[in-house]
Amino acid sequence: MLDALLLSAGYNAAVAMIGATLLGIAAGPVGVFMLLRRRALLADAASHATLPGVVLAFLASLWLTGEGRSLPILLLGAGGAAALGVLSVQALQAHSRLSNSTSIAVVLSAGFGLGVMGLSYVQTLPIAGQAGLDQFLVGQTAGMRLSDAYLIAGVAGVLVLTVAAFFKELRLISFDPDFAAAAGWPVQRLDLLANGLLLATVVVGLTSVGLILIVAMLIIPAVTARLWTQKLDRMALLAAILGGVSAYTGAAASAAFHHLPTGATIVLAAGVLFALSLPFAPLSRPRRAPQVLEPPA
Amino acid sequence: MRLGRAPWLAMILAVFGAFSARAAVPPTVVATIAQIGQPLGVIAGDCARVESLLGEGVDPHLYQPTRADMKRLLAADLVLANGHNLEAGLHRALAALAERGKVLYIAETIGQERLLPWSDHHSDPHVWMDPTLWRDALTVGVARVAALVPACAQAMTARAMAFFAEMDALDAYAKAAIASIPADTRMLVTAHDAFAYFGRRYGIELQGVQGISTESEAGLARIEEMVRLLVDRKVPAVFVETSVSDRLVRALIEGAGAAGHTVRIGGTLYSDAMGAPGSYRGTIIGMLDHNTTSIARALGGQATGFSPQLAKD
Repeated sequence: MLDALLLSAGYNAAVAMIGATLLGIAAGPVGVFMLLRRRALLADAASHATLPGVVLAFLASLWLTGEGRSLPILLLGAGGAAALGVLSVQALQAHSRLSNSTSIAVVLSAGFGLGVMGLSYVQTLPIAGQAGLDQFLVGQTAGMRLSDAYLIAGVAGVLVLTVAAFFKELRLISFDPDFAAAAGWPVQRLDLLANGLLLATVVVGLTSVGLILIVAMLIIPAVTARLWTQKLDRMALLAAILGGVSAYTGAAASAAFHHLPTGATIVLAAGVLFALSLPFAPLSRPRRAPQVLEPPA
Repeated sequence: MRLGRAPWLAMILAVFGAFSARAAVPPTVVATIAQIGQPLGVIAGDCARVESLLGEGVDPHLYQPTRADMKRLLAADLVLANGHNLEAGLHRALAALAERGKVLYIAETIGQERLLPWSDHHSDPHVWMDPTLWRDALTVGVARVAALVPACAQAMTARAMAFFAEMDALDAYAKAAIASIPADTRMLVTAHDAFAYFGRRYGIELQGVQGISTESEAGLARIEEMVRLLVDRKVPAVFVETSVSDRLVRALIEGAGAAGHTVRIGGTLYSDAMGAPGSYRGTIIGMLDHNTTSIARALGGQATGFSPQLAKD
């Protein structure tokens, strides 16, 4: 375990640990804004919405190039579909009376259903390469390569810088979007920016570490940080640290011990940090504790 | 009004005609996978219409039947499936047909003691990877098809003998080809394990990154262990499969490269899916020839190909 923690368990372990840690650091603060806007599950909706995009891109690339599995075209399809999914959630909220979580649930299940329909259509075509199409873009943390790690480093850098640069604006729309709108802030566009950050995290995360891990990295560290502080700047910083620490220790454990799947172990590490925070953190208890009524003597 | 003789005659002839035409229509046999349908089609010849349900590049583990598939299955006189839970998505449809005695699971006709374990309830379903086992499974299928058209039984037996003789020759070729690989590097590294029967038959060590299921996720310790194995044994090549993502295998190549040992991709192997229908690799012989020859050549053995068609296609 010590070897693994000091990055000397081997080349693959070192690459995966560094990549996952950078992703954890970047996903933490993005997750905090999602959480505060009650959109914690938007990442889940976006990642499920990639499936129909992948199927369409596969057919388009087959038609254009004769080869279905072209990585850039499939990525473009996935990213486009995820963006469409996020925009649909935003539109549903703006123009209907559905709540946040309901709109997300509608888009998530509709996107996934469309994707499954597309997959069952594709499997009837006499063409090669459709086997495992639904898993083709989904990465595995253990299989991370240097190019993946570089991509994560680049995107993580952009994410962190954007959050830092627009911190004031993002804070405003997170706590009081109505006031922000009344005060003349471009709320719609800032909303788009926040969702764009999420989208970048999801697409990069999906292809390098997989679906479960990226959703968990966006939610668990943010929730844990929320237990410790009410100040947004500290919350974002803490979420970044928690995300990084869980990714680092989780990946190290998976390198040191056999039969620990890397992505799942990282999620577990984040979960342990959350569970440890629960009894000690000052904000764990509900704001209005249910009163215990003593029966009259 | 008197009816002429002609219309009566015509009617009688029509009835007889329909009868004899009906007898001449060959029965329809639907095979789930092409590993069954292709050889059965060759052996049946004109005696039966043999179709394969699953197209090229389809993963039988995950295939979900469409309405059109259900119609084909219901209309078939006989359905030949692999069994041992290979066609998991088709399970309910097949079970319903099996109640009417119309389904034969050919891999399940092979004795348990000759099969390898897979999960708690099933044996390893990839039986076609060993041509000697597959020949026995196909033999049972041929007998069932021949029973549908007794007039054809003799012709089918003759064609079956010829086909199985070719499979035996392929088996001998594969044995020699794999044995020509140096003992140290005689190791087949793939993303998951569909090659257990192949490995047992020809004595090549198997190392799958993900273990037996395509669903499970790999750990870093396993990746590092495999990289060390590749470097220590100086294995020159690893293999990708047509139906499984190649990410993990490419990570191994990068890891070995960082340790100073160059590994390349030895080729794309057919595991669950075969090549395009009508091509050489779309036949059971061609698929096994392709796998064997790719493996032997990439790992430092001698292999010229079982058939000259391998180089042409």
